[in-house]
Amino acid sequence: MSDVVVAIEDLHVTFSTPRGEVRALRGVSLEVRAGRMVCLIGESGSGKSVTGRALMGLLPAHSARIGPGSMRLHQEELLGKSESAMRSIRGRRIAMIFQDPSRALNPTRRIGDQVGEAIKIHFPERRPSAVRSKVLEHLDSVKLPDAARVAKKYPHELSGGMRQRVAIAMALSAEPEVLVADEPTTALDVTTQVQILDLLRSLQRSRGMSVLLITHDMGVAAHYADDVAVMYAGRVVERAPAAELFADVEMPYTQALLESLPSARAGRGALRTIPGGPPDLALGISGCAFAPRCRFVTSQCKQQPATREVAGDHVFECWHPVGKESR
Amino acid sequence: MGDTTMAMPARSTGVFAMLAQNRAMLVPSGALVLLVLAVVLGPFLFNLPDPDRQTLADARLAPLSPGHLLGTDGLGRDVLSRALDGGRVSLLVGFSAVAIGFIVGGLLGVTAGFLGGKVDAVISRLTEIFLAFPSLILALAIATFLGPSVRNIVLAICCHTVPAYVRLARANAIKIRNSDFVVAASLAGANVRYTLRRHIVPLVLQSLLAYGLLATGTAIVIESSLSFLGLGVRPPQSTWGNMLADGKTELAMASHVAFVPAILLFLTVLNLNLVGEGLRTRADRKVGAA
Amino acid sequence: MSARAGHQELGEVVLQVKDLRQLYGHGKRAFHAVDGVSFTVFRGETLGLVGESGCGKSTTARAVLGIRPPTAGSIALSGAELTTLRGRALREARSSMQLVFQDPYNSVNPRWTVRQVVAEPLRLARWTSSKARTRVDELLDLVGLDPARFGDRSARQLSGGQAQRVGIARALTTDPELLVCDEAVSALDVSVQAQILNLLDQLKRELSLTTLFISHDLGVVRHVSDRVAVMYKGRIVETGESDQIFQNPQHHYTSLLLHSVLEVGVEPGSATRRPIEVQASQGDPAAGCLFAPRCPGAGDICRTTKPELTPISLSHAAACHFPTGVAGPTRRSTSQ
Repeated sequence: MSDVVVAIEDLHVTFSTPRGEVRALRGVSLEVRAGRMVCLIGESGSGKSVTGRALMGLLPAHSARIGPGSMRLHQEELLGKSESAMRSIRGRRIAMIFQDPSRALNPTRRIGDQVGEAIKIHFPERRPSAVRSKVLEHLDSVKLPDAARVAKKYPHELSGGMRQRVAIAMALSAEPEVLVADEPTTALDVTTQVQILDLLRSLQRSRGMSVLLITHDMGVAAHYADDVAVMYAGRVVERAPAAELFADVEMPYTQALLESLPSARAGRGALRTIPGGPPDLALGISGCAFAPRCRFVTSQCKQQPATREVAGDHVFECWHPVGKESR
Repeated sequence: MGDTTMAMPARSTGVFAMLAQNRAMLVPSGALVLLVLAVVLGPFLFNLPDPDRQTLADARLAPLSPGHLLGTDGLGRDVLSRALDGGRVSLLVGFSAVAIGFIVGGLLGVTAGFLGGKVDAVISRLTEIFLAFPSLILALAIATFLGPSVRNIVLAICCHTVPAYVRLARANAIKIRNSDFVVAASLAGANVRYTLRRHIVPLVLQSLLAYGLLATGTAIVIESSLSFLGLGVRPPQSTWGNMLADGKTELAMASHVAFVPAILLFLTVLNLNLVGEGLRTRADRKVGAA
Repeated sequence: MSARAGHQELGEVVLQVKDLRQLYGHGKRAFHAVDGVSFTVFRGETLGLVGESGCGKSTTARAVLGIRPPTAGSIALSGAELTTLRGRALREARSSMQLVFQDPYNSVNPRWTVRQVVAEPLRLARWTSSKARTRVDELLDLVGLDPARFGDRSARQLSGGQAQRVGIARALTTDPELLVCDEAVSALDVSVQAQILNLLDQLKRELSLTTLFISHDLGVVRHVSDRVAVMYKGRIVETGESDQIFQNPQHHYTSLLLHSVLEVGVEPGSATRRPIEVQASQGDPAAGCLFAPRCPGAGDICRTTKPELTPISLSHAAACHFPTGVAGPTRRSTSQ
C-alpha cells in the first residue's frame, strides 16, 4: 500500500451559531494515500464539505472551532497553523476545486490572465513568456480544445464543463500533491460529468496525485474511487477500498443508502427508504447517531460503537453490521 | 407512509420571543426604549426647569449642582432639560422623515418593482438622480434654499429617505415577484391584486420596517448636522445639533454643554443601528436564501 | 389497474401538445429554447420528460402551464385549446394543471403556515373556511404529514422532504387534471428523494394521477415514468415506453445519456468519447440534426435534413436518420 499523504485523526469541528453550538465534525478519521482517489460520501449535513474545508484551512475563523484532533500532511500537523503558514500550503501542496467553478473565476478577466496569475503566485520567478507557454500547457492538459482561443475568452463565454476544466487547470498549476474536489460535477450535466471525472482520474494517474473527492453520489464512488469513506452526522462510519466496500457493505446506513437509489437499469418497485431524517447537530448525540433510524437497533446502540476492522482494510463502527466478513 | 421526523421546534414569533433568541439585540433595544421614554416622559415626570429660561446668574454651573443635574449652559439654561426637549425634536424629525419615506418610497418602489417596464424606468431614473447626491449635501442645499424650520428640515431629509426606500422596496418586490410561491398562486388563479395584497406587500413590509431603524439613525444625524450649522431648527428651540453648536464656544469653561448632547446623539444612533442591523439580518434570512 | 399501461390500453388524452415553440429574441439571432415539440399525455400515466440542462424541458413545462405563453404551437387540456383563451377563462382552465417546484423552500411564502400554504388554491377558488380546512387536513394526511403536528408550523421550518410534501399537497388540493413535477426531487437528499418518489407512486395509484415529470436524472425518470420523451436542444429526439427507451435506446443521444449514468454495481458502457464541442451560438437553427456534431453514427444527410420523429415500433419513435437499431450506410469511426 502506498504512503499516507493526508491523515485526519479524530477531528472535531464546532460552529457557534445563533442557535447554539453545532458539532459539525464529531471525530472524523480518514487517510488519503499517495496516488489514490478517496471518495468522501455523505448526504447534506454529514460534514463532508466541512472536512474538506478544514483540511484547507478555509473554515471561518471567528465562528469555527477546530479541535481536538489532528490533520497531518505527511508528518506536518496542519491543525493550529497560522494563516500565513497555511497560505504557503494552500494551493501549492493541497489545492481545491468547488462545485461552482464560477467561484474560482473572475468574470471580468480573461481565462489566460487568470491561469497566468495562478502560476505567477506560486512561481513568482518565472518570466512572462514562460508563464504564457505554461498557461497554454495547462489548458491543454485539461483537454480544452484550441487552448489559445480559450485563453482569450471570458468565463461567461464558456460552458459549465469548460469552466470546471479551467478551475482544475488553475488548481493544478502549482502541481499540488493533493487535490480536494468538493462536489465538482454535481452542477454539471451527466454527460459532462463523465468527461470531467475521467479527466480527473487521468490527471491523478499521470501525476501520481492524491484526490479527495467529496460527493453525495454513490455511483461516482463506485466508478472512480480507489477508496471510499462514508460519513454520517459528523463521523466517518465506514471506510474501505472501493472494491471491498461495494462487495461487502457492513454499515446499515451504507446499505440503506444503496437500496434507496432509483436505477436507470433496474426494475421499478417501491424504493427502500430510511425513515426520519438526519440528527440535529446542535444537540448532543450519544451513542450511534444512526440508531434512531436503523432497522437493527438494540439497546446496545446507546453506546458509541467501537471501531471494527475486517479483512482488506475495511473499517467501520457498528454493533450490528450487515456484511459477510463480520459474521 | 408518514414522515416521522421532528420539524424544528416552532419558533414563537413576537417581539419578546425574538429578543430572547437574539441576545445581542437585547441591550441596544433596552437602551433605545429608555432613551425614548426619557425624552418623552422625562420633563413631565421630573419637574425639570423650563428649557428656555435663562438665568445668567446661574450660568455655566457644573453637572450635579443643586437643581441642575447636568449643569447649565452659558445662558443659565438647564442642560438636562434642554437635552431632553431637544431630543424630542430630533427624534420627531427623524421619525417623520422616515415615516414619509416609508409610505411614499415604499409605494413607489413596490409599484416600480411589480409593474416593471416604463413605469419602473421612470421611477428608477428619478430615484437614481436623488441618490446620486450625498444625502447631507442635498439636505444642506434644500434647507438653505427653503430656510430653517422644522417642516423644511423634514422635507430636506425626505429627499434622502424616500429614494432609499424606493430602492429597497423595488428590489424586494422584484425578488418576491419572481419567487416560486407567487407562480404557484398565479397558477391557482390569483390576480394582480391578490398577489400584491397577500404576498408582496406583507413580505416587503418586513424588510422596510427593519430598514426604518437604520434610516432613523441617519435622519437624526442629518438633522443634527443641519442644526449645528444653523440651517436647522431655530433657537430658542433646542435640538442636539444646535446644543452642540452652543457647546462649541463653551468647551474651555463648561465642556459638559457640548458633551451631553454629543453622548446622547451617539448613544441613540448607535443603538438604532445595532437593533436595525439585527432586524435586517433576520429579515434577509427569512426572505432571501433558504 | 396496471401502473404501466400498454399502448392498446391507453385511454383518453389529457394533454396534447403540438409543435410547441418558444423563442427568445427575434430574427436570425433568436434562441430556440423549444423548437417544435409535440407530445401527448394520457390519463392515469406519468410521462417523463428527460434531458440535460438547456434542452428546454423546463421551458416546455412552463409554456404548457401558461406561465410563459409560447411563441407558437398548440396546447390542449382535455380537448380544450389553451392558447386561444384569455383572462378569466384562461385562469380557470389553467387551474386544472398544477406544478410541484424544484426548490421546496422557495415555493412557499416564508411567513405562512403549512395549512395556509396548502389552502391557498382553495381560498382562490372561494371555498368556505371550514370546507377548506377539512380538505387541507385530508391532503396533509395523504402526503404523510400529521395535520396536528405540522398544520400550524411555519413552512420554512420544515425539512426539505417535508416542505416538498407540502408542495405536493398544495398541488393536489383542487384535484387537477394534470400534475407537472419540475425537477421535484432534484434538490433533495438521496434518502429523502426515495421517500418522495414512493409517495408520488402511491398517490398516482390512489388518485389515478396524470403526471408530466421533468427531470435530468435518468434513474429517477425510469423509476416513475410509464412513457418517456428525451429532449435535446429544444427538440424531442426519442419517445417510447420506459422499458423501450432504457433497454433499447434508438437515438444516439439517448444512448450517450444512458452510458453516462454512473451506477453502483453496473459497469459503465464505453462512454462515447467525443471531442468537446465548443459552444456554438444557438442563433442558427441548424438545418439538420442538432446532435450531428457529437454523433458517432452521423451521416451526411444528418447535417442537411432535420430528422422527424419516426416510429420504430408501436409506441417507440426516434428522430434519427440512422437509429441504432438500423444499420446506416455511412458511419464515422468512434474516436476513443
